[in-house]
Amino acid sequence: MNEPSSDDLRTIWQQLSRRNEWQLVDDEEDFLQQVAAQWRTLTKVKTSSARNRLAVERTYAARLCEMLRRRHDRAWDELGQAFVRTALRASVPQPEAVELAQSACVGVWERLPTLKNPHSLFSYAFKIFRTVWREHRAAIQHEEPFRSTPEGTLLDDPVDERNLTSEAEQQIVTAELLALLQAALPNSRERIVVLRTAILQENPRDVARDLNIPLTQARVDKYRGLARLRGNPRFMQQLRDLVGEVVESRGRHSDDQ
Amino acid sequence: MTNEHTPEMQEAQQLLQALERSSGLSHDQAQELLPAFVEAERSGEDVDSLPEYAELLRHLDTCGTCMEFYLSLTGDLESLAETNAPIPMSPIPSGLFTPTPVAEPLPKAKRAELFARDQLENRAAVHEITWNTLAQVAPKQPKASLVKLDLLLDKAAQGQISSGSQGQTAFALGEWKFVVQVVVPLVVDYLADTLWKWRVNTVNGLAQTGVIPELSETRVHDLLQQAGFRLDHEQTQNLTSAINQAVRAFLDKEANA
Repeated sequence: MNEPSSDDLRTIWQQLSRRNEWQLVDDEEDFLQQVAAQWRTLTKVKTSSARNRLAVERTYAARLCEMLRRRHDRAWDELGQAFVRTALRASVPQPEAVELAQSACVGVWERLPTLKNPHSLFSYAFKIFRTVWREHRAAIQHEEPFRSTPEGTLLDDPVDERNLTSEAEQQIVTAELLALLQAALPNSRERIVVLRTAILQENPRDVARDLNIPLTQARVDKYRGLARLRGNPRFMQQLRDLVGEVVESRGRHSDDQ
Repeated sequence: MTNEHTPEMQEAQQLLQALERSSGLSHDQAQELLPAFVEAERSGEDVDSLPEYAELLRHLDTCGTCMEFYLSLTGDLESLAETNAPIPMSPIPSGLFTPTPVAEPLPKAKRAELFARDQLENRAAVHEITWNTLAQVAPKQPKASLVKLDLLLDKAAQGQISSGSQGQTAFALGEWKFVVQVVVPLVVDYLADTLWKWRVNTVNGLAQTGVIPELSETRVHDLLQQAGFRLDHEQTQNLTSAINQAVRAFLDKEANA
């Protein structure tokens, strides 16, 4: 696909602008041409839907960035309200959400001059917002408004019930290692992700694609699986023993020769 | 000669290495890299093969805090691209998030001091708000508390309000110490902060904007903690509610004047 569908881009633009109350575009045709130009640069995005959305988002981010630099009230309203909505989704009361958003806007203002790529504005801005939020939580030492404490509920996620019998497991030569992993990681998806990414050194992107899960999920599964194994002293000892045995048997084999 | 890398050896050692290795990045360094990483990932770059992210990926494998941050950031960006209805929020007046023209925001203490010096000369706002607050939290002793209010406001105007000593425990809400060390600093600080954020110079000016600021309980808790006071939950709740009611009553009166 070498050229975007202008109708598709227009539809996506209208959906996103409605949802996010993006109002900084006066000349829609000109803007959509910029979106199409951005779309052509995103050659590595796999699905056309994701490519369209990203093209709109990145083009609007550049527009927003330009207006923020000019201290345009509407631009700051839009960014501030995006922060407020994010906090509201985590059930933070609106007055507190507004305070957080204001502090984050000051942070964005201070760092705008160093932002090299205006198309990346949203990821930089949300990073600042999340940092402000985390510092705020640390300062007041209140209950976590986020989904989890990192080591806590990050480890507690519904188990994937699919039968994920994997070829990867059959590729494991060491039956003993496989048995250890199966005992320590009963969640088959976590086990397969750890096995393929940490042992077989496969790319998480390929693993995510094969398991039909988002890449972020594959990364979380890997983190969770490794954390679970690290937190299991018995497994760690058995693994070290296994590595030791392999070394020893290799040594014996060498001596015999 | 033995094979240095038998499959058994490789598998067990790969896993052991993945479990035992640590990254050379601090949380802050990792989180600084995350916006660019997430941008690249969303654009379809094979970030797992890019050397510039190798250290970050190792960090994410071992750090729950930064994995949570990564998830939050990707979640925030995904929510921008959703097409369902946005989360509802109360209207927020325009201009609230636009940073002030000053190059550097003044530190909070400095703002409070300037406010005390420049804006409290007629003292009407703080006097009335403090009076009404105390009438609610200490209805039996408001007069006793307010005998010294003018003296306190003299101190406030000179930037000499004491924030109290660390480790104070809760005491009778009507005592003059409470007025000196808690209520007046709280009202002054809150009003100074609100005026700064709403970009108006006087409390009367704030009334004209139609804004009804709301002091959150979290904020009161935070301010009390900074000043070294410990009130129990109910006292904090009562004080918050009393200040909010007093501020609203004052602004209503000013707006209708």
